[in-house]
Amino acid sequence: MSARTGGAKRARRGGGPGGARIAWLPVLAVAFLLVFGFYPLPWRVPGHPALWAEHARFWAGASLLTLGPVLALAAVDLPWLHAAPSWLLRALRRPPPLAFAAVVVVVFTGLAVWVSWYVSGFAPVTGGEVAQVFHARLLAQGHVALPADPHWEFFAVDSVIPRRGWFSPSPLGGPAVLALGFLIRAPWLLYPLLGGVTAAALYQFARRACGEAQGRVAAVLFSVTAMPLLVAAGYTNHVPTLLLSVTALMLVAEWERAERVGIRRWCAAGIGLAIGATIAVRPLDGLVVAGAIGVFQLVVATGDEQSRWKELGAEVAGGVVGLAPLLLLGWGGPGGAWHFAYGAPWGAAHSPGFPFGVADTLAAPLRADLHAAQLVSALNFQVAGWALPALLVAGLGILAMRRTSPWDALLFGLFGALVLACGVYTPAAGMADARLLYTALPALLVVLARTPFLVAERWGGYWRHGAPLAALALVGVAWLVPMPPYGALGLVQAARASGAPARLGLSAAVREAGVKHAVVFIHQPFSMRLQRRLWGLGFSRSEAESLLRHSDACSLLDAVTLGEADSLLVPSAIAAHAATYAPGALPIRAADPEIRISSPASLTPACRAALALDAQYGSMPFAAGLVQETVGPDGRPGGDIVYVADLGTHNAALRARFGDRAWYRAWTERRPDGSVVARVAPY
Amino acid sequence: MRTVREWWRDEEQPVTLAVAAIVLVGALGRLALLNGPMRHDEAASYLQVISQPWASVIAGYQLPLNHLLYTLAAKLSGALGGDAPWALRLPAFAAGVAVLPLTYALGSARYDRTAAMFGTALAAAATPLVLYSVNGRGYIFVVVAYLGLLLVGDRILRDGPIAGRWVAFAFIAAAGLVTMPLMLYPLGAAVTWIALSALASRQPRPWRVLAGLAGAVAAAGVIAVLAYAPILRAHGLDTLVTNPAVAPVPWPEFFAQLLPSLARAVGSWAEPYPLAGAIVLGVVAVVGVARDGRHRRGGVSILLAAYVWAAVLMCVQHHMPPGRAWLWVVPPLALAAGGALASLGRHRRAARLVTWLPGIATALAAACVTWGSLSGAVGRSMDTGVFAGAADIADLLATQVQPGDRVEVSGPSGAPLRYYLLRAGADTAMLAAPDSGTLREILVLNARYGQTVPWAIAGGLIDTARFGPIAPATHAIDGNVYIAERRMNRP
Repeated sequence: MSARTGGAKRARRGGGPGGARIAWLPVLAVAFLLVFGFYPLPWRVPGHPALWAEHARFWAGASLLTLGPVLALAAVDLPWLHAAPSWLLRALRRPPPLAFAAVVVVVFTGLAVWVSWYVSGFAPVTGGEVAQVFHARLLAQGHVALPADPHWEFFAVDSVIPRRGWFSPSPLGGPAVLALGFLIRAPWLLYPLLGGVTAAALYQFARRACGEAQGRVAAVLFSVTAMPLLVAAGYTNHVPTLLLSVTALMLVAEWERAERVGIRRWCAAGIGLAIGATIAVRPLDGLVVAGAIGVFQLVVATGDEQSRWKELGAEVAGGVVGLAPLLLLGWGGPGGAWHFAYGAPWGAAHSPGFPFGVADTLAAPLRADLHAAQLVSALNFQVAGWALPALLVAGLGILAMRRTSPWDALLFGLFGALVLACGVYTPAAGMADARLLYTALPALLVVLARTPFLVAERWGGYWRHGAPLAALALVGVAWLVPMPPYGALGLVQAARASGAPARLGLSAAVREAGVKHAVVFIHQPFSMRLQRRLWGLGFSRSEAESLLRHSDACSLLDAVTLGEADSLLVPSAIAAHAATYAPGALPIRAADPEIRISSPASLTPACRAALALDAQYGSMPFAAGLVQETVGPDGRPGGDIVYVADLGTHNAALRARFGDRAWYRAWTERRPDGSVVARVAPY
Repeated sequence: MRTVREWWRDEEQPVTLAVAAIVLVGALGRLALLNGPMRHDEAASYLQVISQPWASVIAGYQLPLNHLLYTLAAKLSGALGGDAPWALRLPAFAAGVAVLPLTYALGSARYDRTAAMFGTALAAAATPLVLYSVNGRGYIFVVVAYLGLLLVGDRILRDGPIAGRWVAFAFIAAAGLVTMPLMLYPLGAAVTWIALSALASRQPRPWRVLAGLAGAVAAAGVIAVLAYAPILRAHGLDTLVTNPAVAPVPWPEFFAQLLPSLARAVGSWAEPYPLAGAIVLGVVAVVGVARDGRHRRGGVSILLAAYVWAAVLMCVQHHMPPGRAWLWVVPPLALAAGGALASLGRHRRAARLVTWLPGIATALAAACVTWGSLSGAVGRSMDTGVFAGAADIADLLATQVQPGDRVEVSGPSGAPLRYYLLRAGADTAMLAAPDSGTLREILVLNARYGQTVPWAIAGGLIDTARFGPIAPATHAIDGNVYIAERRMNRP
């Protein structure tokens, strides 16, 4: 920190962020990590101890075989090895700040683009990603949402709500940012690029908070850590959320050190804008960031000789501007201004509170704690793939701190607050997805980047070169030693395995088949065909799933056909026509495991034909087509090629609407080498 | 390198006598076990390889049983003493005794005489070293090769890398590799140690050592490939590198095996001592390893280099080798523990004990070897498969078996029983008699492996619908024999 800055002046006085010493903070932070990340809470999550034991075996074995030898070699009198960390650090510090930031952006973007191509071939993978990409395409085409489609069963996916109008269940901010990618015709590039900019912003923040060297190491660490790369390689709204929150942190650092009121005011307005926009993308994360930064700013404003209260007014104004697009779009759209869109699919159940799902029999607050512990454990497993738990390394770094500053308090507070907030977040209950804590990642990575410095400073001697060599070994081994399913490479490979359905190559198959002005029916398995047709008859998703699970599929097919022929039949009457599944001596085993047929006597000609379709054609997720849908002038799918789910005989319902188009069928085929590819042929 | 005569002349007389006594005690301890019951692996090795014609000896690798160099040595010693256990184990015995002076030589080169004496005393009694000195397999050859490489390496580091030393290094390394591919562990450990020592020594031209090392390793590799050429021609490379004994396993499985397997190996090193003694020895060994840098005469710790290399190789291979694969670590570990004991002897308050140290080391060796023999530590070890009652049962079967009898035996009991049946001059066809003509089933069960009659029935070793009742016939050490007659009216 420059001697000219306000922060430095306060540091000399010992009262400001740079100079304060908070003795109890490391103890509290380590205790928090211990309780939520190691013991006892993770061990009380049902089913979790086995997962923990498996990872503990990996950490023990991998550190014994990789980290241990490096630490042993560090004890040998090898001058070149001892000098290597210093040499690397000097090389890292050589470029001027702007050049370094540019290199970080390019490197991160390049790596994330490669990961995106490798994992999914640039396609969205999860339901959430599909929904956001679909919604971003709508926004890019000028639609906040589409009107409800009369044949919505042909277009629905789990994460898109087409019944009361088409939109994604995510707040509009995420798809709005992603729409920029469609406007520049490179959606695959946008999030890797935003990830790269995040790395640069993190550098700017960390150099102000911790010093130039540690700031650069933090940025490099962000760029070579598995989790940021994997998240930036996808299409979730975590990417813009993180960029906006790190931007807010970066501006806080500038606001804290700036002496001129004008600069501080602009910084404050920028902080407000970034936080408001964060709320527009991920409301809960934005509120946590706002809380953590707000408390920090209040502490600074209270302790400063100069009045800073007016600047906070600019910040509030900035926040309103940042949040306004969400409120306006939501107001005009189907979700409602204060609904943040989530309420549409989930209703009142989707609100912060004590979640239900992790361990239903426990008291509510403990349930929330267990969910939080589950998330922290998941972060520990998935953040970097190191041979040691990342939280253990962070704890070591915190213990090695000789002094803790309000910057540390801000980072610890951000991490802790997000963990607790996610713990009480109802819809997330049961989801052990570390990405829910993604907004707190900078706090963790800054501490991890500082750990070698802190350990070297605290214990000196051997640790001056031993600690940085160990850190290099952790990162290097994670990427260079393939230990699937462990390590950074293992995490990337696991993501690739789950991204396999997204790499089927539907677009290429459509191009190859020379499809023009057509409707493409994407083959769905028998069970999904039944469920979709039930949705079209007025069944909710859970009702349709339950009916399928308990019914004889052939009799259910007859009931559905009956319902479609007689529009007066209500769902309960249709359900009454379906026979309950009662396996006889010779139950039929279909290729689709969700299909249950009681006995050969149930097999009607229609049912045989439906089963034969599954034998002939491999199924394909409809999401592959949905994300390529183009909106026509009437606000409905109507591009040159329209993708719909193949619902067998029910496809005739589309004859009037798409009768002028050529009909094609898309399905998957397994090659002799085991890979699965998309195929398209006339229907 | 000094000759034995020079060593005898140069060493202090009490030390010389103490070392000779320790070696003698160690040799006697091993000699007492030389003709003990044949274990599964050595019996199988004899039946499938050593007893075969020379062409099969040099080209046989149906199972990873053929420790090539050992097989050749055992074939030659078998020519002297026939198929007696002592004859098949004679090369291992000679190598096992040789380990002791080599351990002393390494200890005096890397530490000091006192540490070397105590280390040798511990090595003389170490159950794993004793066990594989009286086991007709090649593991102890690998230990000798490792110690030889370290001694040559020490001379190279101290007196310069001359061609003759590299030739010796290459041939010793090749001998180890030709014994078994597992030699990659100790060979790599020795190479790592020499390379790190050269780099850390700040000599003006460490690359000369590194270049010589690379050349010697390459030469050893060429010799080994030539020696394995008949096997490679007959069975292909996969036999050597992807057989179940070395093939990689999935990482989760590997990590699940790693720590328990290492713990078992470390536990076996504590034999033959009772719990209290093992704890004391463990503490001494840990202190010795931790203070390794203070005791040794400069350079890099041998154990550190071994750890680094073994970790690298295990990462590459991700297959957990059996505990005996770490046998070569025992002598340097014993020397590290010996170093810790020697430092106690050098303590100011123990100054008057200095002249007694050779005697104390000898007494330690004698006491530990005697304890090991009396406690039956080698016999208790189940490594490589044990069926101690095989000889007695084979003698019984040789005289009692009638036409129409079929002998059922399973697990690690099969090869020893077959070996002793052959020695007894019996027809081993009883072990593979056709089921259709069988009138009596003779069950040979090994109690040490939990083989009981219910176990045999559950495992389908005997069909109780056609044979029964199952009646006990005889018992010998860990073997139980049962007889079941064919039931009437059952085909």
